[in-house]
Amino acid sequence: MKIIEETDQRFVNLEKKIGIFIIIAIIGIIAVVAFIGVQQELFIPKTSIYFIAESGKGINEGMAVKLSGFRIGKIKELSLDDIARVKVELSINSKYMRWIKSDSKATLLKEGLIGESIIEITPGSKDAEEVRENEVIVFEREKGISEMVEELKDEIKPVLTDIREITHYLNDPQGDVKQSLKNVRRLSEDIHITKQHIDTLLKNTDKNLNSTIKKIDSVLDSAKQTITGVEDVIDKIDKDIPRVMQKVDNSLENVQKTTEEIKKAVEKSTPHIPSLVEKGSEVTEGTKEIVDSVKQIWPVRLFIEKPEEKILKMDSYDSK
Amino acid sequence: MIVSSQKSEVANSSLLIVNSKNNSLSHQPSTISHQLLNLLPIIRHLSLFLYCLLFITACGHTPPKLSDAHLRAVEFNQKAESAFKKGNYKNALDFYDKALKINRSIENIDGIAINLINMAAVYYRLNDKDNALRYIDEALKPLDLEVRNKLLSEAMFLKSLLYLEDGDYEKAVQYADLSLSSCQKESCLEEGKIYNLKGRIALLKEDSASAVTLGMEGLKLNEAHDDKLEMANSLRLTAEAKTKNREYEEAKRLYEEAMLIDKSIGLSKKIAMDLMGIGNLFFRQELFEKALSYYQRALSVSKEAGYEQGLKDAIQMIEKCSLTLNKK
Repeated sequence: MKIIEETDQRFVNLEKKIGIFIIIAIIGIIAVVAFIGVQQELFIPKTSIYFIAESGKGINEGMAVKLSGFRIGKIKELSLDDIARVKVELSINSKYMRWIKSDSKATLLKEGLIGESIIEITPGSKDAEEVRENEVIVFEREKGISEMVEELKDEIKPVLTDIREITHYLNDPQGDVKQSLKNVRRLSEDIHITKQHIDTLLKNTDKNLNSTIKKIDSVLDSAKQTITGVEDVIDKIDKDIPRVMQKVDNSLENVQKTTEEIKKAVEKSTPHIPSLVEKGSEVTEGTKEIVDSVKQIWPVRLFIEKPEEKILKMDSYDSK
Repeated sequence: MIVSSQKSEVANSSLLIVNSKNNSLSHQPSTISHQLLNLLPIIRHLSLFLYCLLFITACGHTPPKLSDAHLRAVEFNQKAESAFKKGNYKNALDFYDKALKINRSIENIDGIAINLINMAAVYYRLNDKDNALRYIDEALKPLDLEVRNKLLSEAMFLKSLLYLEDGDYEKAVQYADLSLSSCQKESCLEEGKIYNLKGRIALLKEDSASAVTLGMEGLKLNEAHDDKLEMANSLRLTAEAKTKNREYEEAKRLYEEAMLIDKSIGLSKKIAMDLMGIGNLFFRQELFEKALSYYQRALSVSKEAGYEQGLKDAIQMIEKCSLTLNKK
């Protein structure tokens, strides 16, 4: 029984209205949470797998994990293991697990040159076993731009040095190239001058030809006389040659005999040479030993300088 | 029996004493001198035996032999020294480096220090101060107390020379003092040359009085050790200082004395220095003709010896003299 009669229509059934409002609000909140959950894939079954990295550089929690370009999960947690390596937990949608095999590799790479970093998992081979919950896969880092630039720098550096050396070599005024060019220029100048000389020479030749022919005639006359003289000499030599040849023959015979004797002597002594050499070296060694021993004997050793390393003594007025 | 005992020399002498005690009545009383005479042959034999023993011991003792590796190091060190003396510094460096490597392979501390100091000396001659200092410091740093004082002294001496050439007189004095103290610890024979170096530094610092004192002290020590090269250096140093003090007669006498020694050991560079010194003292007295003749002699000696600095100095002074004479 109501004590006071409600007269204002707006307040009639107020409790019911408030109740309906609260229920709708709660349903809305639940719907939003569910939506977010779906968006965040909270309700999709996940499988955790791991990889181990030497350093956590560039790896962050929440980072996308992709397989063949599809997002299949994310990095859930980073932690350090007993030997300070980074243990990375990947949360993978279970439905994609069938493509992740024991020989699959996780790679840290950038999407494009300046894109976001992601973890890309390579699909394993058909025959390999599927990775199970909490198992570890291999991890490798893709080279970053700076590393690639560094490598490129190492590759290019010697080339640049070579180019610089070659340029220097080409530009060096005392170098072969410059010198050769200089020589070529000089040569072409010389050729030009020579050509001019030849031209004048040819002009003069015509003029001088007649007088030269006359001169040649007189030269031929004197040559005839010389040849006559030479013929006389040859006649004389003809007469003397047999005697000389006889003497040469005799000398050669003597030389031959001597050579044969030497050859025989050498043949006789040849077998003894190695033993002689051996004995010689033995004697030398023996002598060295004796000399060394004598050097050690008192009082001889007192007069022999002891082998030792000496310091270079600089004097007080030593100058460079 | 007593008579026969007296005739025998060694073995029977003891018997003689016993018998003389037992038969004191029948025996002529023996005096002490008589007994000593009987002992003489024993002493003679004993001394002969001792001499033989000494001789055998002396012959038997052989000095420790160097290992093959050490001998190779010695060989390289000697080759390097020979190259250095010929002025072939590059070869000297190569050989010292080889000797150094061998010494390092057998951890021969002395050898390592010696070759490092020698390499520093070669770099000094090559006018490469940085490398010279680097090698000296390397010779001293890792070994500390293990390096003998003699080597320490030589290293410090070289360091002082380096700073002197560089014009850093304070450090030059500091290292010369360190060199001297190391030298005195091992009573080395190089004390005189360190005094000379200190004297040179004093002279460059315009302290000619100290230079004279140090030069004379150096001369005394060098004479005691018969170090002719350093004796001449002491004389030259004192002469230089006396020239600055305007004691020209005394200075000339000292220069001539130094030159005599330098000529006897055939050191062209030093002869040129002596001639330049005499030239300078005449120049200071404005006796330009006399000065010119000495400078010309110095020029000729430097030219033939290939002493570039001497050549430059002589030419410069000859030009000065000629200009002054022409003005007159």
